Amino acid sequence: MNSTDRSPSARRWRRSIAATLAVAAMVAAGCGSSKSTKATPPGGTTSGTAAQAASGSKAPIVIAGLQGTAAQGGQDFIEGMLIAEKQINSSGGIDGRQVKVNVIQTQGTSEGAVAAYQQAAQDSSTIGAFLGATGGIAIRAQSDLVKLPVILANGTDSDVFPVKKYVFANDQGHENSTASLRYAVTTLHAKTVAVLHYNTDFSEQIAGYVQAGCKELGCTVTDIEAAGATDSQQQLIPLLQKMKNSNPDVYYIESVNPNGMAAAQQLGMFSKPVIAEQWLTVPAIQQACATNCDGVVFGGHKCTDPSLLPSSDPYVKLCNDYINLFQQSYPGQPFALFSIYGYAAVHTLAEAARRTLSSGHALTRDAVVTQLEGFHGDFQTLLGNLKTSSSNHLLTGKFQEAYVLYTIKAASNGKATWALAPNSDPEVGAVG
Amino acid sequence: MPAFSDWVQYLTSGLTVGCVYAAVGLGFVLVARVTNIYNFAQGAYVMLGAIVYAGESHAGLPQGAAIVVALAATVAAAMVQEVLTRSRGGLAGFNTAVASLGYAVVLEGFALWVWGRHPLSAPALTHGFTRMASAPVSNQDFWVWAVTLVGVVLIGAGFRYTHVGRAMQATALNPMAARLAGVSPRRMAVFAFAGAGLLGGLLGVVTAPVTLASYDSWLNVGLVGFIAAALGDFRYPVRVIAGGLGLGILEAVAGGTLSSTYRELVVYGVLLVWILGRDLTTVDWRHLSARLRPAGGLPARTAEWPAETPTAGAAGLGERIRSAARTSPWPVLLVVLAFLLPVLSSGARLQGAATVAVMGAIGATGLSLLMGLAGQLSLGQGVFYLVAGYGFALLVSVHGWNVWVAAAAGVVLAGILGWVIGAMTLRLRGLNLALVTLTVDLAAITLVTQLQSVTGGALGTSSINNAADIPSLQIGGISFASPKSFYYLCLVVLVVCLVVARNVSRSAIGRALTAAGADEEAAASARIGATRLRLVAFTVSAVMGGLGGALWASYLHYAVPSSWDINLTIQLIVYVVVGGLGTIYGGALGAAVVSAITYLVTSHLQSGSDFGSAVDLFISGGLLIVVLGLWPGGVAAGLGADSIRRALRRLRPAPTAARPTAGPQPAAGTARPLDLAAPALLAARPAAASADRPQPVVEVEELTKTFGGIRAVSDVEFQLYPNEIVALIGPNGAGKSTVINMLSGSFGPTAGRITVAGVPTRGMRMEHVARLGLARTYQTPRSFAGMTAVESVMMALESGRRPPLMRALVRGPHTRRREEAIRARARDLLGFLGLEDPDRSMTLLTAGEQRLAEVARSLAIDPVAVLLDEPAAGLNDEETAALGSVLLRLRDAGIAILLVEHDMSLVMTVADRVIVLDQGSVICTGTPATVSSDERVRVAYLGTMEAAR
Repeated sequence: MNSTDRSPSARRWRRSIAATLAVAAMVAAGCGSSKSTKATPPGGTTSGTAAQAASGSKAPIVIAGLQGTAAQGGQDFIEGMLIAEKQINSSGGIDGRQVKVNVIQTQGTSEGAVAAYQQAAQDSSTIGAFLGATGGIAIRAQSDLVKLPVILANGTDSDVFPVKKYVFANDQGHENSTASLRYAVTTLHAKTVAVLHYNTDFSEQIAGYVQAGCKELGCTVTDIEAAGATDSQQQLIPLLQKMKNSNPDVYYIESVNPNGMAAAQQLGMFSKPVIAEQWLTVPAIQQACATNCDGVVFGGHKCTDPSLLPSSDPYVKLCNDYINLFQQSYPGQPFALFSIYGYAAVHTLAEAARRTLSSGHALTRDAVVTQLEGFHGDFQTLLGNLKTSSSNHLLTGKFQEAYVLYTIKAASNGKATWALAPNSDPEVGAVG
Repeated sequence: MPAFSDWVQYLTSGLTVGCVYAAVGLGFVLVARVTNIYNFAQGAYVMLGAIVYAGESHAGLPQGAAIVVALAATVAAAMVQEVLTRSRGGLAGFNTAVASLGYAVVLEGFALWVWGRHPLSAPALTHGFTRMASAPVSNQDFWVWAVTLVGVVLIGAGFRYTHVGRAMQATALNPMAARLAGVSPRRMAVFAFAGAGLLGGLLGVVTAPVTLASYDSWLNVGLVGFIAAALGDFRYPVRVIAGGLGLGILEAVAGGTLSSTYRELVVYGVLLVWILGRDLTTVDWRHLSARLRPAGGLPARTAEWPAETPTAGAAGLGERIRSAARTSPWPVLLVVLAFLLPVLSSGARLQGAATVAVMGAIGATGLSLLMGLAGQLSLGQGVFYLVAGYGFALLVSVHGWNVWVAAAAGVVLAGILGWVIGAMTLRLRGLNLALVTLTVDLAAITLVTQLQSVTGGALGTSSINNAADIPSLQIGGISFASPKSFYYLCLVVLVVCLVVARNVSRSAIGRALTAAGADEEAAASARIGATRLRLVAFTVSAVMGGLGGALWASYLHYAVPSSWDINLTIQLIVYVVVGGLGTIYGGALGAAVVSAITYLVTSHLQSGSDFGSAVDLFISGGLLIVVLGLWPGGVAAGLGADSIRRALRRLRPAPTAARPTAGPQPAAGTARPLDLAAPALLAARPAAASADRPQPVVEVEELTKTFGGIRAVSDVEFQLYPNEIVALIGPNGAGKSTVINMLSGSFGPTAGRITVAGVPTRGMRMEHVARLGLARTYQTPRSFAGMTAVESVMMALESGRRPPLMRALVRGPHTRRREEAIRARARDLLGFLGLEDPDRSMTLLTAGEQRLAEVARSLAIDPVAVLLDEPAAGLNDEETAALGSVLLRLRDAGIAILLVEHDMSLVMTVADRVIVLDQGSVICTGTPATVSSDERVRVAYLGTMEAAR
């Protein structure tokens, strides 16, 4: 703490080291700057490098899977990517080249996502990346520097974030949040709604979505409560009591924290319709909520339970095929719905690469972006027929193509299952 | 206005929530009260109880069996922790608290591995609801209430009324004495941990049905439990219950009646007002002068956070670590390695991890200053990252400011906040300070997350309408856009912070902070006003946190609350403790070690699955325990530091500092013969005694002190004149030390008047009395851990004027020359008193040497009068004789001396006048000869029978 080491030689020795290091730092910083001023992205790879490395090459085409920790879906997304990798390679790859999914850990943080994204960009054979969990917003902020196309499935919406050249999304956070609202207004004739959402990055957007949706549909939001995503039943009760006192026609209760539903049951709020977003398609959340979620209506992907769909729906086959693939790849493991986002992302990037190469262009990252912006309903994934442009980076079809409205049915033994929402119009889509 | 039934609903919900907080707090109390360990694994016990119960129920185990398994698991987990703690030598303090965090992380990994990542529901013990005033209350709530009630009754009554409870408390207070009384501290620790584990398990079982069970739920509940326990000073179960219930009910009522968005903010606000308000009650409002000055001199009201010294068996370890770490070679090695890192590996992920580690190290260095040097426990360092990061990001993204100007503004903002928090908490120590800083941090995180329209909320500043991304930093032609160049920029900032921290620690401010951190009262007796210095430390620490925050926002190109949430603050504390509290480089070293471990674990395991993530947690938590177990004082004081330092020393010439005297020197550890050559300090004093009687320098009139019904001092009157030694003698308990304490300002008199150098001292704090020229020593020498004898005297020499902050930060040649001059004066003074080898740590001096160093320290403030409280205690005859000569020399130099002493031969040899106290009153005053023949004195000393004989 209070050094007694004050001999002149020691000081000189330390100073000389410090001076050397300072010079080294400036030199190193200068080196970094000279590259940067030539528009080189962090990681030292230009957006054209992939083309140079790939020209006439049979080297694998790499897609980076940026994986969070044990957060919701973190592992599931990667499982879907690996299924797609195997499927593409077993059918001959892209232009004779294998696809390789390079998994890079993000630690579930913004900082980790940034480092993982930069790491992915360092590999010149990487044409794009996918991130399905925390860190998407941080990656957006880096994308103009890193210049690596990335597909995000973290629920952030273009309403909130303007389109960025290298950033695409293949989930429909907004639509997932508001499909049930349209159902409440059009089918249940609700005029007023009270909302409980949580303070996570996805959940925080729900209040705005519902308000915008009500503006469009002509309903009124009587109360909005924000809570912690891990709050207990008792912590949520005062907030739900306020919602109840606002006397709406329908309650919107976000389901990622099933304690909210339990608290609503305690307060007798299920005497009115309760709607939610898509989290109840996750079996673990459905199980945790169990009978407390009985009757809740929410939008969810058709692959949640294809057996509920009419046989004429093309997604019956699409989903069953994919679920079979999943179970072959991960025998004994329950089907992970969120894996479809990783699966679709790899197929989408692979298709963009395929189109780039078949058009005779070099496989650069910018060329991949161009292809990703050029889908005109001529390519279908599990998320729908893609229609994109330079101002629309949503890599999905219309919401009702791949999604449907579900409700929870509780069996007498307490086990809950999904069912289609009663009287739901199959053409019902999102609002706002 | 809510209906009556709504109020009932809020209250019952709040009661249940509060019971959870309180019961977790009780677990903290149970362990802390017996072992002095602040066990952050208490939250993990609750998590484990809940998840085992829920998991085993899902697996088909009957409910009763699942409960038994859950309780057995938590007790077993607690016992394993007890064994781990014992094997680490039973160390208390920061490192054990951090090790308990590591253990909680291991338990988290275990839960993730066995029961997976998804929250589990658990069967209720009783189903259904009961209506209370029309409000439905879950029947499960009654179980939570019952467990809490049973917990408080058993712990409260157990401590008070049972033999085991009393034995547990005795163990906490004095393990050695408890052992002598037949109590086994080990057994008591086993009971405490087992009890805490059982309580945590029970709480987990009864709360799982209403909270769900999740492997990562322990930190939140642990933090609020910590707050509840701290509100009860980690000691009083009833206060813990009141605190926990208060927090829970306030949260529920605020959520139900005010705003769900800001309900936590309301709770934190009330908590802050309550803690600060509670502290204000200690102010003596009767004295305006006291009110208008900073009040840091008052003794701390609550239990201090235990020092890193052991509870048993290894006394002085922490101090030796501080001493050993002084010349640490780590900073240079660390910086060299850090600069070479991008050369050794160009991987962006490694560089990213290193950049984050460096940004953390910058704030951790500030925290090292605050915790290690100033002895202040702050649990809010993350708030400065938050404020500077958001300030910077908003000014650039929304208002279009230049990045450098915005970064500077963000840092200044953090510095201002640091100053404000420091000023608010000047009086607070230990847990109260920790609570306030933690509360401010939590409140700021809540505010930033909820103030969506201004900050972008949980999505960060990128989501604000029309907000631009933060451009890369650039100076002239040098851009810091690439990860490598940005890493070097951060590293340069870190090196600057390390140099500044080193300069501060070596400056007068550093010495004063170290002294005040080690012993605030003794420092005040040397004119050190700790409060202002702590404010400096707080502000410098905040600025460093702000630098880290501004860089962080620049790194991300936006600001988001999740980067700087409470986990960052915990991480920074872990850095400081793992690196070592005994060195200002500890934060940086800890950041390097912890980040390297984390990076290696995560990159080599390629985790992501539940099992992989669980292994991450096992290794990260386990290594934290192992590192702190191997090196309790941190890595700096452990791994090879001594050998490297020795090797470095061999490269340097031997110290050439001039000795105050020439000739043969006695062996270290003994006082050498008195050097009668006048030190510069005394030589500079005015000429001694004139024929005319001068004015008294100290006047005491009708001095009275009562403690409750006991009159310790009664109507004492005397004066001290220059060139005079007055002995104040009397049997034990006569009130001598009480008189000295009142004179020096340790506490005020009940009645009477004291004047020093013509100035009445009533209401003055100690350092202000010292600044009038009144110095003192203590009956038991008050050494400053972590300082050498020379440094302690330097500290006193420099205390006469306000230390210049900028000079301390920069420490230019002029400052160093001045310090060398002061060092020479300090050596001179210590040499005058005969102290050999004054560069030894104070804690390594013998008792006699510590007394001499203390006398030197008292003389260093250039006193008009010195109060010496038994200075000859512990000295041998030769040393006592030498001391007598010193006293006479001081008297001849014009200093008035009040000598409290039991060694009558010394008193009779040196005293000009003797005042005899008995039962608080002066019974005799006169020359030594007069007093020695006074019958009242003989009676007082020898008793009536002896006198009569």
